[in-house]
Amino acid sequence: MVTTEIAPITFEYSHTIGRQENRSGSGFFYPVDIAVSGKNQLSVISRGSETPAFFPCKRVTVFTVDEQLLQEFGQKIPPEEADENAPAGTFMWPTALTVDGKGNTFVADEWLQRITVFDKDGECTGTWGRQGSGEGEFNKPSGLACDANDDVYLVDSYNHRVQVYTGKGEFKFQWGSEGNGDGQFSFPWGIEIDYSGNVWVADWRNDRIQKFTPDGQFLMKFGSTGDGDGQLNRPTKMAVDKDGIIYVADFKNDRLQVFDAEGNFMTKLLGEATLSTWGRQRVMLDATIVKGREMAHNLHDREKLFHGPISVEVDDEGRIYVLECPRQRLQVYHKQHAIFGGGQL
Amino acid sequence: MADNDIALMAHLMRRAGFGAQYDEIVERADRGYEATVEELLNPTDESHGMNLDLAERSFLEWNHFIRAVPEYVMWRMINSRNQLEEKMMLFWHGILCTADSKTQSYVTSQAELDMLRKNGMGNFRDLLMEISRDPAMIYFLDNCLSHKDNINENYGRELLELFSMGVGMDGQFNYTEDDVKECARAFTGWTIGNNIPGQPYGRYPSQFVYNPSDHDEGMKTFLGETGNFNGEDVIDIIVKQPATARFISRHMYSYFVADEGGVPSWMETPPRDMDTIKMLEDVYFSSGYDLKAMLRALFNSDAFKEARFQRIKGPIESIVSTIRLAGDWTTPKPGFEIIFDEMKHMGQEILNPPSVEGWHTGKEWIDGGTLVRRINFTADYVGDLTQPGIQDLVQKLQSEGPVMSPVNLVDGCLRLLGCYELEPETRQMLINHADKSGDLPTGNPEFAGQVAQMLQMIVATKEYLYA
Repeated sequence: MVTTEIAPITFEYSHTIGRQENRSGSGFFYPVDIAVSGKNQLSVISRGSETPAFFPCKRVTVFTVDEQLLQEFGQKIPPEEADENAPAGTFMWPTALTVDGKGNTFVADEWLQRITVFDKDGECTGTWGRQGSGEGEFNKPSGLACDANDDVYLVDSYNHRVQVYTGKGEFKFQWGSEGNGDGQFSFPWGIEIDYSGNVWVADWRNDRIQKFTPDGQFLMKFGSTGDGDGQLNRPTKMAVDKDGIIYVADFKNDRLQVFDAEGNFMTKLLGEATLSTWGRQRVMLDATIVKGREMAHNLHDREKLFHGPISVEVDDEGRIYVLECPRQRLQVYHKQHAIFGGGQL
Repeated sequence: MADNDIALMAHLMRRAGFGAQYDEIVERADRGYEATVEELLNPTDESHGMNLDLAERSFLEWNHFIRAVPEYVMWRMINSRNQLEEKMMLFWHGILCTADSKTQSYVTSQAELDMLRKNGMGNFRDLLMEISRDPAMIYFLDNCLSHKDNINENYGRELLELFSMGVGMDGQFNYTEDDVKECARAFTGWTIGNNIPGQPYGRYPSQFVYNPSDHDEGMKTFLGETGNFNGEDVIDIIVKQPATARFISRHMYSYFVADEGGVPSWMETPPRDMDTIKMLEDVYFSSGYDLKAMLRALFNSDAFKEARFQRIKGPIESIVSTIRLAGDWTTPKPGFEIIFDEMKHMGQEILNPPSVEGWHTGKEWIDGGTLVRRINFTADYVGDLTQPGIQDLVQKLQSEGPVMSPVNLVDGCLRLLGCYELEPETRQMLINHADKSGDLPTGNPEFAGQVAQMLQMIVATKEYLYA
């Protein structure tokens, strides 16, 4: 088991979840976002493909941390039908999802320019939102997060701002404008609400992370363009754990970077993926794949690496989930404190 | 700005790119012909003018190039200001051919096309080195199955016949069967690693591997030279052959100036313009096999400047230039696969040339089916008044005055399409048709539709097939 050392925290790789599954079932197809949707339970939204044969490749997949498939809902719509009349529950270009305290799942679609809501049984209960630049309107929503009151924070990417709605889609307030000053954004992507209720935004084209109070007051920022430690290349999402540690999906640098609560670089993870349970099931169906994996050059060294880490999430158990879009999987890590917790010497 | 300068610039952009809207043509003509040639010859990562990161964000499958490579390539052809860079990528893709129907790995094909883009205007020796190490090529032409004790001649043969020298010139063979075998021996050990299967986590790019234990270390005699040659040595010998200069020159001429006929005929059929071919051959040698120097000489030659409408547009040229004219696909939206399908139906499916010989060009692009397809596609686009480029074209005509005569309507449309020229008889037929409506008030709501109809008639002419 390979670990990455930092003082006083280590990260230990746990396991990998997922496999490429074009149509439906136990796997993902260009997954773009992940949310913790219950105890030991995760939800992933797959962007899917527009290739006509793949149906219903755009979907929400709900599963356990130990890789038991629980539920799927939502489906793709052909491009020629992807307009304002698209039936509720269908997706064209889904970008993000979040789950509120009641178990409702909200999915953003940047082409249909709407938020679709599903109840905890996966039944579509409605859609809200419309394209525009005024209050209560958005242009290409790309990030979603629910706060403790079940209000929905939405990244209005092409309007370079954050908006806040009730769960029913009633507009509350917004902040941000285009630019690179404090509180300004350039095509922001992911959003996170931490355990204190503060708001973090992946300021995608500015290659930085910004932190705000719940009502949008600027608090801090970190990150700059590049591939050095602490630098970012189109960060897509961040997660903040109970201890304030910040995890950033450094999308185009193919890595996860870890920062302390002040935004100081701590370490980076490059990936430790192994064969997932679902992956193993797929491999074992085909002897040529088994043979191919036996013969493949540098299989583990190549396969383990992060490839397009697009979203990251943490849970209350200290687990970190890193979702990789082109590899159709997520890698699970544990954060381990070096502080002595009792027991035998 | 002289009309001829604009017409010449339109010609350059059709040949060295995929056409341009009228405003861009005028803007480039204003900067000057030679300056534009230099700009096209010297692309940079910054000069393509595309918001590629934003496009990749919408077309997520492009990220890390696991899928959707044809769509990515088309996007670049449509939107890049580095038009010649994309045109050269297509040029080499049609010569140094591999096909996805065999390789079945978009991510590996993407690496190849990136290599062709990067080296397409560089040094020909470097390009041959890169293509010889290209995993898609090694797999496509079976060099991974060529071993020191059991050679496979496939790559060695095509390297000589289709990638560098051609079978013969001036009625003489350029090489012998023994040269093919010796060439294949020199490339033993140039292979690929066993790749990771595409399941469960998607495909990985294939990797070049040199295996010295499988390389034939024996003496070889190749094109009259003898030594313990490896692949690099063979390429060094190939690039200094007069036949190689002739082969590359004829390909460039055929692609940019005028159809030269199929490669198999080049041994017996002399070039249609020996003076220009000789000029290119001289530059090839004097520049040390520098492709950019050859292109510069070609674009600045009278032969090129005077060769207007002597080449039948290929399907990809036809589709991309139409989309660029219409101003479509400048921002991401769903449905790009339809464009890819259109290429296929017109006979030029990118990443899938019909054989290692590449596509047969010139008049062979056109048959009953592909002609109808091409005209319908183009006519649908130019007749679509929701397209920004077509709206702009209508507005330009409206701005010429309150009333437009039939002659001015025809000539105005021809000019704004890129200074097209019609046979006098064809032009008169269009004028006669327009004359049925008489002079057109440009402020009338029907005017835009009348322009669109005229554009559709022009793109259906035989002359519009040519670039």
